[in-house]
Amino acid sequence: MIKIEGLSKSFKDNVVLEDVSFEIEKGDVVALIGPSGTGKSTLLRCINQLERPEKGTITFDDVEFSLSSLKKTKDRLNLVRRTAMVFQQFNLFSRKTALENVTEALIHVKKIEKKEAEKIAREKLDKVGMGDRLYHYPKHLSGGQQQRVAIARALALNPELLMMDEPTSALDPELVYEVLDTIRLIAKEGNTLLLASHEMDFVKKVATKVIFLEKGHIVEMGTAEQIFEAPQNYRTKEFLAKNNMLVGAEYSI
Amino acid sequence: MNIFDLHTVRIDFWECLNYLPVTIKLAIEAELLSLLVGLIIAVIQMKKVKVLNKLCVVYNSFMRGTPILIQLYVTYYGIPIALKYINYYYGTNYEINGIDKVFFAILALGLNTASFNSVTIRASLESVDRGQIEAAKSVGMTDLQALFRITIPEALEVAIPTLGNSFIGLIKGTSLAFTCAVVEVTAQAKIIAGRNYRYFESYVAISIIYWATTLILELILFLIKKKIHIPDVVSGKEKRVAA
Ligand SMILES: Nc1ncnc2c1ncn2[C@@H]1O[C@H](COP(=O)(O)OP(=O)(O)OP(=O)(O)O)[C@@H](O)[C@H]1O
Ligand SMILES: [Mg+2]
Repeated sequence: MIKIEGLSKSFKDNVVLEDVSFEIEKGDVVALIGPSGTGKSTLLRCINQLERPEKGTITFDDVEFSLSSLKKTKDRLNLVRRTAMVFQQFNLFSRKTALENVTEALIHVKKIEKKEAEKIAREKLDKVGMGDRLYHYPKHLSGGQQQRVAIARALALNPELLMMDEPTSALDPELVYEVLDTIRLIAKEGNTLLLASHEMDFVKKVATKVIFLEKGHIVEMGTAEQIFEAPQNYRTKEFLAKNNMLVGAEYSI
Repeated sequence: MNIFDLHTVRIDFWECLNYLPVTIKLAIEAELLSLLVGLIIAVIQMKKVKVLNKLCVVYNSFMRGTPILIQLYVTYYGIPIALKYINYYYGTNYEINGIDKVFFAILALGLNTASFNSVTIRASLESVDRGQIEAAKSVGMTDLQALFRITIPEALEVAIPTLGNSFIGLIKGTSLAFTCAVVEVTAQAKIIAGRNYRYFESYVAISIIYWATTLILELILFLIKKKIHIPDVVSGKEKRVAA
């Protein structure tokens, strides 16, 4: 189980996250939803240490890490290496092929031998449907293909927590589904996911747990059913209504 | 007596060519110094390090605002004076004659080029997409790994053409090293001409040497650029895999 406790983060005097706590069970698909500018990206970035919060801890089973004061590089790397991140803008290494994008960290971070690393990379790229694009550079791939390589890159690290920050919102509409299908696939395989998303239909179908975040606070959290079928807080209702999710209509994707 | 003696040109050419290694060694050493100092200046300016940042601005302005020839003279005459003062005030006993003359030339040329290279280095580092650096950190690389494996290779593609040109400029700049009593290609041409009064011939001879050197460097630069450019077409390997 992964526990995040008391996470607070401000930029100067703009309080972005305030005392955020929640738990993730192994194999959970946790979705962060909420209005724009509410702190979803910041939350993921704090866990990944791309931002340094003022307060907060994360616990993996029984190993606790401070998110705010990991002074030793070793401890910070130890935390970061338990997680992996898929970014909105893909952020593939532009000078490396799809295969090298995946093997890079396997070889240089996990110190896996090149042959073995390539085997793992091919396997993951196959899984995301990119097995026939191993030697393509990012600039030769469509946005959806780049994002699938990014997912393979994250997956290959075998992270205890795989985070995704709006993985489809930089994509042309016709490319969204191939990426959502890929995420659905890896969710089914028992990976533990924490995902910020505006794709409500997708969240409703795939998430095991939904967290509604607003202005840096958790307003409501529960199973996808609880949040979408029977939201308790009126702010949650309002948000869902705005996103056309309160009418109870079925959407197919 | 011939008005223009091709034979003398040929002799001078081969004699001066012997000094090309001196010229190239001088240029390479000055370039390395300029890259190191340029990188330091670039980082100071990017991180806006307090007092040092201001100093760099003054430094750059001085290096651009004065002729390189004068900078060489200032170095050549200034360092011995500085040493004397140091010896006087601190009771040390540094021997000015113990310093190789080439050192002055490397210092002056390197520090001058550093100022120009710092701008190139800074611009190229700043051009690197932050997302890739974040991705590098997110897969667990250390800061140094991210710098050397992702940031610098990415920045190099932007920086190489400009740095290459500045190196070619440096090769030509070494022709002023005679001011520091260094015998390289130009100094040797002067020496020969001083012997036989065939100034024109010896300068024609070394013009050819410099020109040829520059052409070769430009070719090397072109090959490097091609090598580091990400291919525009998909690798042939893919087809073999697919087949
Ligand atoms: N580097 C930064 N410096 C200053 N303020 C920042 C920074 N990053 C984010 N913020 C602020 O933090 C707040 C939360 O931003 P964040 O990107 O986490 O929101 P979000 O929920 O991911 O929004 P979106 O749905 O639009 O992606 C915003 O008000 C934003 O302006
Ligand atoms: Mg965001």
